Amino acid sequence: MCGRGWSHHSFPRMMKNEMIAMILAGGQGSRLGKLTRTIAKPAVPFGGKYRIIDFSLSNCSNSGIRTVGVVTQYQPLELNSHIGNGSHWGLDHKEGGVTILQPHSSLDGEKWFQGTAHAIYQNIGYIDSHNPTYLLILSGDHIYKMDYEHMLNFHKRKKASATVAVVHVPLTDASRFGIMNTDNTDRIIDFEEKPAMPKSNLASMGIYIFTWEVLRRYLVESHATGQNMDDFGKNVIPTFLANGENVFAYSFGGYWKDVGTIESLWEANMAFINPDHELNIRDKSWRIYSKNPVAPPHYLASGAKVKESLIVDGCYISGEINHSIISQNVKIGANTVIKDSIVMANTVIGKNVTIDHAIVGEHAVFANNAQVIGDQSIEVVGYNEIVGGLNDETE
Amino acid sequence: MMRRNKMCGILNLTESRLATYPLTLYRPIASLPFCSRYRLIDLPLTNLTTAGVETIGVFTHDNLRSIYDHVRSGKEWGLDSIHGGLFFFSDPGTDGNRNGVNHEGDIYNYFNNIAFFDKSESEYTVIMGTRMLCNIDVKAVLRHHIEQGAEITVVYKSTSVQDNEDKNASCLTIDEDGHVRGLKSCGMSESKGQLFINMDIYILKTELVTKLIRNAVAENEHCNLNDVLHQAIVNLPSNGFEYTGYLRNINSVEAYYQANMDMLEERNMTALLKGSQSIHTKVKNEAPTFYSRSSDVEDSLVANGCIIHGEVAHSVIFRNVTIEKNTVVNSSIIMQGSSIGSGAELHYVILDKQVRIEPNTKLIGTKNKPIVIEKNSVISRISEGVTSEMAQMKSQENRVNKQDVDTLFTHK
Repeated sequence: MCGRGWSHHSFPRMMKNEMIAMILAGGQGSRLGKLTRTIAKPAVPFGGKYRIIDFSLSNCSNSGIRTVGVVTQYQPLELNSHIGNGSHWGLDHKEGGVTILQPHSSLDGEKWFQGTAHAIYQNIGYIDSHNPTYLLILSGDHIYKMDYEHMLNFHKRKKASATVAVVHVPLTDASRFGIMNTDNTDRIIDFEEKPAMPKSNLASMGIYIFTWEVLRRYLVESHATGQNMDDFGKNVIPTFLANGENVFAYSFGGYWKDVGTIESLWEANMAFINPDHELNIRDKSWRIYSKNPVAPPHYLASGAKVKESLIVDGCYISGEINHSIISQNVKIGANTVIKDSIVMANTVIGKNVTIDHAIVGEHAVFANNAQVIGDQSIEVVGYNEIVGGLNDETE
Repeated sequence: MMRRNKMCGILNLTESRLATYPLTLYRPIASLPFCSRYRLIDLPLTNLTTAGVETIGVFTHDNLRSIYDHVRSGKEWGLDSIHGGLFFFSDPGTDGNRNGVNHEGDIYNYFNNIAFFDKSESEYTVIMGTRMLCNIDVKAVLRHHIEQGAEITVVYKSTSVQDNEDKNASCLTIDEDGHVRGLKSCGMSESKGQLFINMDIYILKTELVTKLIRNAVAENEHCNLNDVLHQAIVNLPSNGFEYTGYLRNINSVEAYYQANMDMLEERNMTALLKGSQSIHTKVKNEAPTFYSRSSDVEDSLVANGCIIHGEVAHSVIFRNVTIEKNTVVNSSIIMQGSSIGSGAELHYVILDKQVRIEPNTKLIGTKNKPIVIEKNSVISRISEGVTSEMAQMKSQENRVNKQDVDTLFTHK
């Protein structure tokens, strides 16, 4: 010990994190109906062996972000147990790592999160404890692969206070999104939430990088003055623009999919079956990690017919699978036909069952001869649901 | 519930690799890939940890790379806690050999590291290997050991003489009370009746293990720990514990092949891998397996990460295998990362890891003599006549390597 400077350095300062991430995983995702009745949207299974939040968590891990706060609120049980200490994504670091941030009560009263920016305001203490220069805000309910370091470099190059990641959407769809209008230097000059007459097709992905010191100042001041600063899209970005802050749009060119509805979830899964899918899930240089339960390999019995489908460990399959995704530990009996469907983990399906255009939740049970056919729209069978009479045993 | 540190585990991995060449040319038996996603070491590791063993010593002659790569901190088996953990003791021996046989015996490796036993502070030690493929309830063996009050408990499997495939296996003579009376080679037995195959799984007091090791070294014997234990179960009051589950002795390529094929039968797989103790292994993040429109797969086990366009029947496919269109894979074992080109035909073949089979190649083995292709080989198209010649040659040699194939080419 050199014994010098005890007075002002009684503790070594925590190594400064250049950027930490906050994943906003508190949303209910009510448009997913039965699938989000008991679990939060980011915990909804995707692609046979992932959950939606795995994409954001893996992107963080692959981008070299070592500190991730996951803000939960709605039905957090499944999400918490999925994330654990973050070791499955290589995020169990000595410093930082993954922290689950839940609303809690304090002397100031209850702290339910009123909106995306409000959730950040309520966790200023957590963010300050890591002392980041930049703060990455993610929404945890999109399917995409993205290197956040590129976006950070853009943010630094532009000397921005805030950078919003955007994708080009078809102009006809633009009125469903928050639309950014930019000048020729990518500076955002105007922002409109779900405009009836969109002026551009640059849609916000709900991914932001803020210079933390600037965002912190806005959040604290607006709280003190009682100004509404609850939501990034509705309040924070417009206020930044009004005050002449440097706000830039970072264009993202890769695959990005919002799976907020039953139809879009089904479509995204069906497209994911194709091994030439744009997401390139088999790319070893940018793996998508997940919590992998231990299961033996899957077994295709004599008589099984599996075509254009994805199958995961632990399954036992005797029936016919056509253009479908079958997740872990699913059992499928003889003469059963499954077509254009997603069957989530641990489901048991008897003999002679027909499932067509459907999403089947985890732990569902199908009796022999049961039928679930989505005619006009995608049929959804909820978690733990039982379909068909279990006494109706006909060989 | 078991008191912390009641039992420590020894994984005795100095098993001879010669019998399973060429699969064990560069890896110990413990690292042999098994049933699409496991390695043989997963079974004893799971058995020990499920029984509450927190301190495990891994003793080997080999360089530890393939074992260490797979096991790492032992996290998948819950061995990375603040208590106990995995300890590796490797002694390559004086002849620096590759075949896992040390002519001085492994006893010196145990003797030099005898501090492991003292530090473990355990009352009992359980000793296992990986050659005897089984899923055993170690806690039940310990309970039996304590109840019976024997010095050593040894686990055996009862089988009829006709069903026994290994004449060299050691067999116990056990009296009606379960006491061990003797030990002999299975080949010495009568032509009928029951055999009690010694599975080389032992439980004894830790202080007795250290005493046996010190004694053997004091007598300046060049021997293996198993030899010492074989003597001890005959000389000291010892009891047998009958194991009734699935067992296969991986003492040849054929036995290895058969063990994998056994897993295609659900009762075997349930008994070995999914029963009361489900077997843990290193977790890999692979995508789901894709089956294309042209694929036709029946009676097969397939791991994650594969892309399958061809026809597969009665086979065991490991992770990240690619099988192209118009291929036939039958009664074969295809290990991790191998790829099979279009138009290829494989019957009774074991492809080691990362083998590339070029389009239109035919490899036809037989049930009793499967063809083995070494790790990282590239096998190119060979004309029909040469294939049968090769298959014949291979059935004698039981292996194909790059050189062989090159020679075949020059023939052409």
